[in-house]
Amino acid sequence: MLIEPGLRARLADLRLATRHPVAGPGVGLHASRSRGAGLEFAQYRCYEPGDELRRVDWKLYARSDRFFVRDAERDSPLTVWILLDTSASMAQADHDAPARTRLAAARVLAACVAELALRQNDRCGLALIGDGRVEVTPAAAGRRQRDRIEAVLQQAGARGSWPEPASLRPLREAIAAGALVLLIGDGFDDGALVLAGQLAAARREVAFLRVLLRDEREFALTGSPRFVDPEAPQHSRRVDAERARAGFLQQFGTARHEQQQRLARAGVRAQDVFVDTAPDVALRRWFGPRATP
Amino acid sequence: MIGWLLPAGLVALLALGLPVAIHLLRRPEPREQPFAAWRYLSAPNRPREQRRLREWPLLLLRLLLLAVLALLLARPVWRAARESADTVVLVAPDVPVELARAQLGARAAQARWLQPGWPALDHPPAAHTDWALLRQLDADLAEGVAVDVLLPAVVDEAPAERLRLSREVGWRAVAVPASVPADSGHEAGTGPARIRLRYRGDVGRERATVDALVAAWRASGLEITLDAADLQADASSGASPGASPGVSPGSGPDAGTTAVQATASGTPARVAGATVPATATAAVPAGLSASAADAVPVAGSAPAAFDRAASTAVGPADGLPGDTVLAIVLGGAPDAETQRWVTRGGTLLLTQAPDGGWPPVERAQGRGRVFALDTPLDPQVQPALRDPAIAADWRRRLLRPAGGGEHALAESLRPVVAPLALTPPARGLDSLLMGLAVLLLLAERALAFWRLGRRT
Repeated sequence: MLIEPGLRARLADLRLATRHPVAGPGVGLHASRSRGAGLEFAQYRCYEPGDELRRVDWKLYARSDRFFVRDAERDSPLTVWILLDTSASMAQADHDAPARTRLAAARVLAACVAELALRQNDRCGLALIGDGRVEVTPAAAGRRQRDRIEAVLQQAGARGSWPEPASLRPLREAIAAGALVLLIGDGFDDGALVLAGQLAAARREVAFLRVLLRDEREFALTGSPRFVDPEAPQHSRRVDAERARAGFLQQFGTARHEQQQRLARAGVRAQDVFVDTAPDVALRRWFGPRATP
Repeated sequence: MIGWLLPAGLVALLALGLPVAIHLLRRPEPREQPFAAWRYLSAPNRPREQRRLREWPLLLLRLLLLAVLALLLARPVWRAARESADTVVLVAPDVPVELARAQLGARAAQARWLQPGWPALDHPPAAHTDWALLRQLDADLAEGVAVDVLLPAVVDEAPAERLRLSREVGWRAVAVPASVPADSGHEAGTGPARIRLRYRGDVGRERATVDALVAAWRASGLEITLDAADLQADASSGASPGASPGVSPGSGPDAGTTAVQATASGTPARVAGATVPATATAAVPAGLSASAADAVPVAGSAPAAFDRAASTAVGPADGLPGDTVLAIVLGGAPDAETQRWVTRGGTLLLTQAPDGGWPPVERAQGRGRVFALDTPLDPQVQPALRDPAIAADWRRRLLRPAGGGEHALAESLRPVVAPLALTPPARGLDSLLMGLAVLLLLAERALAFWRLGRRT
């Protein structure tokens, strides 16, 4: 059970939405480029033979002596892809809360997104990217998909490093155009940023949730530990934590800002999520009732 | 108050440095912190060589444990501080209350009599001074409590030896005006001493022994007047002994009264009085004669003094001449006058007394002494009388005035400061500290394992 009841309750008023209209068959919640019968008025158009008579706006005919047909937006279903970074850096946790790993927080986030998507009859797919390969759960809708995704998330472990771009090709092909792609990771792998940029350029709507630790926000470490790159243990620095704190916070803050700008330039909206905050806070900024997409 | 039975054990406190050093020196391996954002750490600056105390709660526990063990080695004891006062003021019972109050002023309120139970000055004291109480008080009192003693300049009942106390005692002597004349004008050794001899009926051989003794004492340099009277003759003549205080040779109807004037420095005994029976002289044991001649070991040419300080108790008011040093009653109970005199501090030699023995059994009567023989003073009945050393021995024992050795100047009694030989009553703290040490050890182990478990 990745989503605890309280969190599930807070997810009630969230709704996954895209910034762009969605193209695709079917009936769903999302704005669609296909016009037709629907609730939301889109436009009037001239009557063409073959149109259903009931769709003719008779009041307008009375005023203008011409036949116009009310055209409505057709709501369409969305495909949501969750790309979860499972490289070794995702296993990192705060030094004083070893159970609160980045992966655990990311897992809950992914479960929440899947819950939201499947709740509104959208299709949801999952890809675990780590350990040099990609593990794809094809997009589908329905209750069984939710269980499937939850099971996959439960046994996901963080190891290895980000795969080569070539091994990511099947993933790029699986994600159809117009899909909403949520990339959940730590942003320390340049490959993830590249992938996000590529997907955005290929007209997928990409959002990047960067899961960060409290240590990276506050750097409340003491002593002189050896700081080791989880994915490349040969890279390490022994630094006196207290003395390095100010410099680190300043440099890392700058780097985070630059990364967000870089992603924004690539058309990817990005957001930092901290492991010690509730997962729905970040989601609410994008998908809440008063969200500013 | 905590005391130490083995203060050297406190040296073990030096061991406290060990855990401090260990906690300072034992630097754990630099721990590895997985940190994906390592790039943003500034260039590796040398980690500070900080000598920081690690695991200070553990260190604290270890220090406490070691301290408790060290204290345990020093064998701590808990001495209850009995007195809250910083100074204990004691007044010897010989000092009159008014005088004591005048001397002490405001401190009189907390002053106590030097008596069992330490009564306040409001209670009248018993006449007796028990110097051993001072020793007991010294042992009982906590260290640092001062003791002041107010005592008369001349102490009647002086202790046999100078008190040895563990603390400096404020020794204040006050001149006590004597209620009775300090001395009857008779200075020891300067004037003649008087020996009062009372007998009943014919005491031929005993009388001879007394004479021989007196002769021997005279020969050793004493100036002795022998005042002898037959009680039966007195009774028959109707003359009350108490009615004629100043017994003079002519007071009795001859009655064998002998006044013996002895001159000093070894001149042979010269009988100045009249009737020493020839039989008596004949009966003088050879030993006594010998001792009279040369055996008495008194040196010097000056007349030997009675070792006699101011005898305040015995005076002419008692009906006996002030220079009386010894009363001898040959057989039977002593007369009332003699009894009174003895009670006030005289010395009495009784023969044929039921509670007597050999050598003469000494017992106290009032402030005086009674030496009792169970036999007559007759060398034939008591052969030990033939011992040549008898004269010197009896001189030492009988002619020493009662209480003479006990009178002393207060200043000469000032206690000597000596370490306390006794262990004062104290409660061992060993078990308490042992329990504490065990608790600390458990706590230390628990904390150490907990820390270890948390680190890995």
